[in-house]
Amino acid sequence: MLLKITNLRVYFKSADGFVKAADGVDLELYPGEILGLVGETGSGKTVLGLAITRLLPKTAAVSGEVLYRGQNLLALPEEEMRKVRGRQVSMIFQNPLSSLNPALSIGEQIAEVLREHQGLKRKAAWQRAGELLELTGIPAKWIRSYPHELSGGMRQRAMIAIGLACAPSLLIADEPTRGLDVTIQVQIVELLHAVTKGVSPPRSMLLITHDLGVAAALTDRLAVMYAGKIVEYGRTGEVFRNPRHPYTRALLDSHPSNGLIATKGFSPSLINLPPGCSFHPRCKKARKKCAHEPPLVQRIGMDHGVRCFYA
Amino acid sequence: MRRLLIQRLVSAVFVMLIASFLSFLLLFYAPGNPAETIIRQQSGLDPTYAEIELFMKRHDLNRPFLVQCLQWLYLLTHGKLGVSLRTGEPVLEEFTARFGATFQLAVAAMALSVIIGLPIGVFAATKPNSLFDHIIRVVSLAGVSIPEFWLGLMLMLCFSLALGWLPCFGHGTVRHLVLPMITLAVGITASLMRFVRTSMLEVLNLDYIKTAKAKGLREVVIVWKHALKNALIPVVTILGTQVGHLLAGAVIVETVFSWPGIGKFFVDSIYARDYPVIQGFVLIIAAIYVLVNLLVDILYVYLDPRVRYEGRS
Repeated sequence: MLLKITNLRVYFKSADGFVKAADGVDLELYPGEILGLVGETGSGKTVLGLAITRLLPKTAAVSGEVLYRGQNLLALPEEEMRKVRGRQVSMIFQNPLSSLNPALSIGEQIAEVLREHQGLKRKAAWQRAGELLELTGIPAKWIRSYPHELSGGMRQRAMIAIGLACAPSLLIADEPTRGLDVTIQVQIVELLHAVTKGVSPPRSMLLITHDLGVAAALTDRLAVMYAGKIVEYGRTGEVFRNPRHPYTRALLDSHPSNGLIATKGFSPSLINLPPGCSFHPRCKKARKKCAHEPPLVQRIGMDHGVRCFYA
Repeated sequence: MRRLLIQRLVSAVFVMLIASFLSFLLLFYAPGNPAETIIRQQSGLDPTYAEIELFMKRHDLNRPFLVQCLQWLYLLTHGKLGVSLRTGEPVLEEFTARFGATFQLAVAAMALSVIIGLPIGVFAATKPNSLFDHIIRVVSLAGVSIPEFWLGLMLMLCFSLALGWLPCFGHGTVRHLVLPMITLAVGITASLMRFVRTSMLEVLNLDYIKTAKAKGLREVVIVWKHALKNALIPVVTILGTQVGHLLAGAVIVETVFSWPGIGKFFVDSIYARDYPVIQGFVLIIAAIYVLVNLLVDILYVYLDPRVRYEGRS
């Protein structure tokens, strides 16, 4: 197992109380596997990604365990953690325009990672940066361009080239297709597939997305997140064919290809979560029990689990 | 870039013309008379009414305001700034003879401000609300508020009179430069620290800093390369406008320390109502100011790759 997250909690202190962005998350990621983390905005997906690489602000209280190759990342000294970032675990952020440094050329932004982690000299690092650009579909002659000179799709390719620079075993991609044209989204999905499944041995990726189409195209397994908890997980095909949690079903129904059926109500505030099952106020199947007893995850098949009493 | 240069040169001409017109206007209606002061200086006696009349006539000082103004402009178009009423030397020569000393003082003070203010501002921003940050906030507030003439006198009192380490006034060696330089630098250092701190704090919260951290870069690289390169962009603009403050401060500091620069000569000329000198100096200083800000704009291109002046409307 490459990554094993156990009982991860991320709380932010606010004036009104604790914001429970992740509330007891368990996740497993196998080598060479792409795991999709889906859920609506505010469900805690991004926070989870940042918690793994310990990039959350200091105000976040993080507890639990994040085992990467058997090593608890949450317990590593900061300097050790720094050496994991970018070398073993890379992140690809959404909105590459703001995530790339506007004052540095993309070549420099790739080369510096190689110089830091692989000790390459300037010239060798730039040489390799050019190759990485070519690999992600950017002509190497653009190496001296600045982020603002590239198109949205090109910027995301450059972002991916940075993430790949040190050949990490795990990529964490946070909404990598958000804000891109649909045709460009397809290209980025293909590129992400090529740099994970297309290399040998295949590379693992945690894909954080709210786009079910992207998740269906790329992932092996899915974890559905709602209000800081994983409510359902399973093989991607299985979850799509046979969604067992009412929220997963609602999420799938809301997809345009399934008729764009909206779920009533709003996702709850992470400060005042409803008692019992967090989803019960919006759930069509909710019964009395749901309102005061929090459901636990039940295994309902080979590698398929759901956090619901009546699944 | 060429477009920018032309725009700036055109605006420079207007800035200079307006600055000299306004100073002309102020001087013309200000009480006092150059004839009285200058004759008294030269002969040591109170001038008679006839002497004053003669002096005024000789220097065309009794003509109407607009006529004098146009006369001065006419001279200017022939590349002349006129002659000092006090010394009889051409204004331009008076300026160039003294500008070196002022330039030395200004550059030294600016360099000291950047060397001290920049790193302190950066450190304060990396540890916001720490004890260091709070101390720096108080120190910079004090630095901005202390008037230069008082600070200069206090430094003299302490380091020249009491301790005897440094000379009180004069010009020539590095030791002479220390006190005036510090006096002039304190205010600029203080405001620079605050600007750098604010600008850094803003940048350190941006997405690309998170990216830099996610890349596993060292804190030093993140702060001094990724953040500072962006944070400097607004700071450079501020530095450009500080040149005005620098020249104004130089006038006071040079007077306090008897530093033989344009500042002191300028003040003496104002007391003596030496019109051509005042006019000429205002014009040149306005030109320097515009020039420095043009340099800042050019520097921008190197700091911020997003700024390219070509193709901008």
